[in-house]
Formats: sequence, C-alpha cells, structure tokens
Amino acid sequence: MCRACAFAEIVIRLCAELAHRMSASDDPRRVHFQSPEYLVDRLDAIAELFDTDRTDLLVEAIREYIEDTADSETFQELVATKYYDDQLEFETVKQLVGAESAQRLRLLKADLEDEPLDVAAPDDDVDVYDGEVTTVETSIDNDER
Amino acid sequence: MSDRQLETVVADTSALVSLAVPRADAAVGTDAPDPFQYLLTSCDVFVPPEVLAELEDITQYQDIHAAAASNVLAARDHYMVRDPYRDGETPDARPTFGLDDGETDGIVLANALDVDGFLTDEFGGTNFPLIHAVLQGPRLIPTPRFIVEYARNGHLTDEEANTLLTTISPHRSWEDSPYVTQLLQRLNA
Repeated sequence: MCRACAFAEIVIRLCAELAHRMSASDDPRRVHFQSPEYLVDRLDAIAELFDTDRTDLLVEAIREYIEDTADSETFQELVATKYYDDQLEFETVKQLVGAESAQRLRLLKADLEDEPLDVAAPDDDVDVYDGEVTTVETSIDNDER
Repeated sequence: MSDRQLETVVADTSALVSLAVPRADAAVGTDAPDPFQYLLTSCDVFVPPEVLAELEDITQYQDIHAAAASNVLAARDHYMVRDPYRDGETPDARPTFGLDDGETDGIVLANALDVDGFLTDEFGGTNFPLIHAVLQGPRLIPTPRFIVEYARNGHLTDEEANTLLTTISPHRSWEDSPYVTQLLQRLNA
C-alpha cells in the first residue's frame, strides 16, 4: 500500500470509530421491567455463584443477545425489507445493523428508487457465442463463484 | 449524452457469470431472452485482463458457473479487454481497495475510461459502499438492476425480466436478498 493510501485508510478507520462512539452513550440508564420470578431467582443464584451482581449479568446477557441477533441473516433481511418499504428510518437502521451495513442499505434503497436508465435495444440476431455455447443440466450449486 | 445513458460499461467477473447463467442452463429454451447477449449487443463492454483470468479459473469446475464462464469467454470478440495500468492517467500498479483483484482492476478501468456504468454482483456484502466510494464517475449498477432496466426500457416484458431474475437467483444466492425481492416487487407492481 502506498503512503497516501495507508494514511487514507487510517483516517477512514478513525472516522468509523468516532462515528461509533458518537452513536451511543456508555452512560448507565436505569430501566424497570417485569420478569417471571423464577428467572430472577435463577439469575440471582448464578450471580452469587460468580460472585457478581444481577445488573452485570443482565447487561452481559443483553449485549450477547444484541450481537447474536444483529449478526443473523434473518434479522438483517428483515431490517432491509422494512427500510426499503419505508417502515424504518435510516437512524433506526443504523442502530439495528451498524453504520456500515446501514450505509449499504441506504445506497441500495436509492438505487431501487432511482429513475430508469437509458439502455439501447439489444440485437437478437447477433450470435455473440459464435456457435460455441456450453450448457449444463441444472441442479442448484451452492459453491458460488 | 444524458447522464442516464448506459452505453459503455465495465463488468466484473461476478456480473458476467450471473448474466451468462440463463444461456448456460440447459433447462432454459434457446429462444428465451439472454441477458448476456443483451449486454454485448446494447452496450460497449470493457473488462480488465484479470477478469478473463478469473473466468478461466471458473471454467475448471463442472457446474453452471463454469458453463457460464465458458460462454463469456466464447463471446470474446464482442467485448474489449483493456489493461487499466497501461494508461498514463491511471496508477502503474493495482491500488489496495480491500477488494478482489478483478473488482479492483475493473474499478480502475471504469474510472480511467469514464464509462457510464460498472456492473457487479457485490450488492449483498459490505463491499458495496466501498465500491461506490472508489468509483469516481461511473454509476454502480448491481447486476439484477441491469436486467430490470431492459424491462423499464421496453426491451423485455416485465414477465421476461421476472423469469430471468428467478432463473439466475438460486445459482447466485439472490433468492434471500431483500434488494432482489424489492426489484421484483416493483417490477410486478
């Protein structure tokens, strides 16, 4: 990599990191919610075993849940579909899938909403293969290239 | 020339293979529209030598991608191969975009020739914004959209475009793509 490219890459990385930091605060926020009692009892038992407290375990559990969910393809597809259908705002999409994926979805949404391009009529009479066409019986190939 | 004109394009390996899938599929009739033939007879198409090398590699397999790649190579007289690093205006060596070599060379070539569009299948991955960012003038066109444009210009019926996308989809992992689903929905609306 040349020096200019290396520098550009560092700048891009720093910008991405800054954007991530700006997107959410690490300050604690108190939340109240109802839970079945037996779950809280088990949680407290686990907290005692690990010599920690309920809050730390819950925060860790939430973090893991969010990471697992956000990584799943089904989740990503659902966010994309709702965003394309105008059921989600861009800022929400960023929260749900992260800035990088959100940017991809924004570009694709703009592409979907773009006006038609002017493409000339193809010429059906031209044999572009000059008589050398290979065909195969189709079964679905998973190994994509 | 309007800025919506699509007369000159650079295509990457994935786009060429996808467009060539229908003709390579023995189950598709020879009278069905062939999007690869459409590309070559309605646009001036340029590819870098690296894309030819990647196509050669794909032909070593025994599947529809190999057949499609063979057909792209058989049509060699109908597109132009240009080395993007032989021009005074372009870099002397391949830049590091974080993309594969064929895509990188295709982007450098597209920028150097200032073509109307760069065709790629890279709409499902994180590379899409990156390609968008490094293309200086050419429009980034996902392959499924390129097919839909023929319907929007009246060169294919909506049903024909629909059939082409659903023919290609299972071979190119397009069937779970919300983007392709949306293209189909908007086509059928």
